[in-house]
Amino acid sequence: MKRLNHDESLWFLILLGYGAYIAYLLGSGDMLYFINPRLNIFMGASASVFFLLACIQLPRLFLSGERRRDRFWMALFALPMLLGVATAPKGLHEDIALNKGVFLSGATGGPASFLDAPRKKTEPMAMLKKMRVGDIDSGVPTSAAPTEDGVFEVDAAHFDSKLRIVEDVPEAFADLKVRIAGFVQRRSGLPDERFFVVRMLIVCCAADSLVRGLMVEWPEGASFAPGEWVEAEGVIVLQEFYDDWFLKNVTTPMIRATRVERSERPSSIYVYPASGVPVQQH
Amino acid sequence: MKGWLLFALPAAAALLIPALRGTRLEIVSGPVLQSFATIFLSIVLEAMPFVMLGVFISSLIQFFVTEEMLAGALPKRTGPGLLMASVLGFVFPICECCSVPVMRRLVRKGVPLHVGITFMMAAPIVNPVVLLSTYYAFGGNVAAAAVRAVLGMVGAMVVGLAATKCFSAQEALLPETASSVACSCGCGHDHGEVASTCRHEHEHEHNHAHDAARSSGGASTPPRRALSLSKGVLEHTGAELFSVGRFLVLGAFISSLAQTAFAKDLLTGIGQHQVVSVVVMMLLAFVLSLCSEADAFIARTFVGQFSPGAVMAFILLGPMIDIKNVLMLQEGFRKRFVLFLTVAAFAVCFVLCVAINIARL
Repeated sequence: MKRLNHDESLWFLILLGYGAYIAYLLGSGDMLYFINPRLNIFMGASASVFFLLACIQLPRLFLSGERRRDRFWMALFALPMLLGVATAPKGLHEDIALNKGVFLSGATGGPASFLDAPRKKTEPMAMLKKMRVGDIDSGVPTSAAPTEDGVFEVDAAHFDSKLRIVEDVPEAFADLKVRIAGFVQRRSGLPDERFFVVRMLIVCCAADSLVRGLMVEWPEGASFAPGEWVEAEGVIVLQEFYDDWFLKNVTTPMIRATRVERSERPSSIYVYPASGVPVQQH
Repeated sequence: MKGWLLFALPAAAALLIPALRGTRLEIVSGPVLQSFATIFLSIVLEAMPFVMLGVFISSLIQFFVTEEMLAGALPKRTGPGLLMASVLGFVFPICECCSVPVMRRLVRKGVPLHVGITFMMAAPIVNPVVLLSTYYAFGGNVAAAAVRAVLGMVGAMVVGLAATKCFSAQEALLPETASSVACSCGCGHDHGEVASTCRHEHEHEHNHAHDAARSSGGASTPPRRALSLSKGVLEHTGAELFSVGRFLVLGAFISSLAQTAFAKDLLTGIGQHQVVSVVVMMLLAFVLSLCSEADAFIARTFVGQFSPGAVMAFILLGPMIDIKNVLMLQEGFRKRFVLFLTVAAFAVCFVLCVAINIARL
């Protein structure tokens, strides 16, 4: 009877294990904790290749001959899969977000040089009704117009798209009512009443995640700890600061809050960028 | 026996820890381990398809591209060779995970060292997807993407040129081992296992028809040859996946540790120094090993806190060389050469990015 080749068998199990683990993550929806859904097709391909390589490996299970693979390296190769099974990660924690800076397109959130900018008279409602934002869940563009109560809601499904609109044309949003939910992040140099309400934006994967959100001004801001989940509502005011990358003043929006309340932590703290160009003018 | 223990312990932990979860091992569901595991897995999961693509392309090159074909396609002179290698990424868009195994195989196949190195370092920067993401990350600024592309090409060419002046391909490459699996004749058989599996005389006749006929013991028909070649390509892909993938995992592990432990606020205060800020951001890019498609978005969060040269250093050095690539390069290249490449990439990026800071003073 042929003897089982232990090294080749281990490699077979690792290949099979990776294929099964990736397939499980895709099937259960847990892949969302690691990877932007737009990359799921690559994850599916990856699982298929692991299964294929495992099949190719089958005839080698009883191969006699010298050891070809170092078991230390095989154990290391298997480590991510084993760690994944052992810890069943449910995504990044807010603590990690606090290690990162807030990403504001066209602005850095720099603490030192905020000034009140002159407000422009615009027609935000008419403008918003013409705008569409991509929906990461359905892929169908939906209206960026405010809700029936006249509030522009930066909801999770359109988080990045709507923030981009606000940041691209902040003048259109001056004095507009806005609502945003996320967790609190602070930055050194900012007074206690100013903080960010943010969420983690997964561009490609959790390792490349960004902290995305809006600055909020609330007199009792000091009562909220970093990482605490809140819902903030207020009107948008414009701030101006000097951007030393573009060597010019940049206008950025901030919420002057009329209400900030603690809220429930959602099952996932992630949001995802809408694919392609997020704003379409019709 | 020790080898088995190395494997058995993590496997036992993987089986036991979930069973104990919710009882006493709160560390498993604690924020630090959860975040570490999430980052570690996300890097490996995201990079794996592209590493697979890289080793598959490498296998195709191994089996179907001959030294003569490459010699005919590449410019003979160094200058045009460097230039061509630096722009290849526009039409052959690959990321840094994919470029290492492809470059390694190309150099083994006789592609000049400077061409291989320049291609490996420039392709992840001039990749159209990467340039588009840079454009978006920097608020629709064409200049940011253009400066990144031009400096990336220049930097890669300088490193490529320096590498070829200091090393020959033989001095740079490690000798192929049995674990590198396939022979360069493209027969699809494993030199390391010739005695046990192939049982044919390895005459290196560069006649691909021989393998299917001999190994099967029957007539060499086209479908059988195709099947044998396909099997050979896949076996080679699997072996290279192990060779390269283990270093990807090691790099991802170190990067995840850094991301979990490192707080950006620690760097506040040195960000505006014209020289130190560049060094710090290069080290950060090296350790974090971010995907070049996403690194511009991370870099943008440093604008305002770090000098413009430092921000550029972050998106320039990372795709050229990072801890993950250095470890993957160890499989195939001598340590001295890998160290040289790393130091050269750092030096070139440093000069280019400090120059940006000086020009803006």
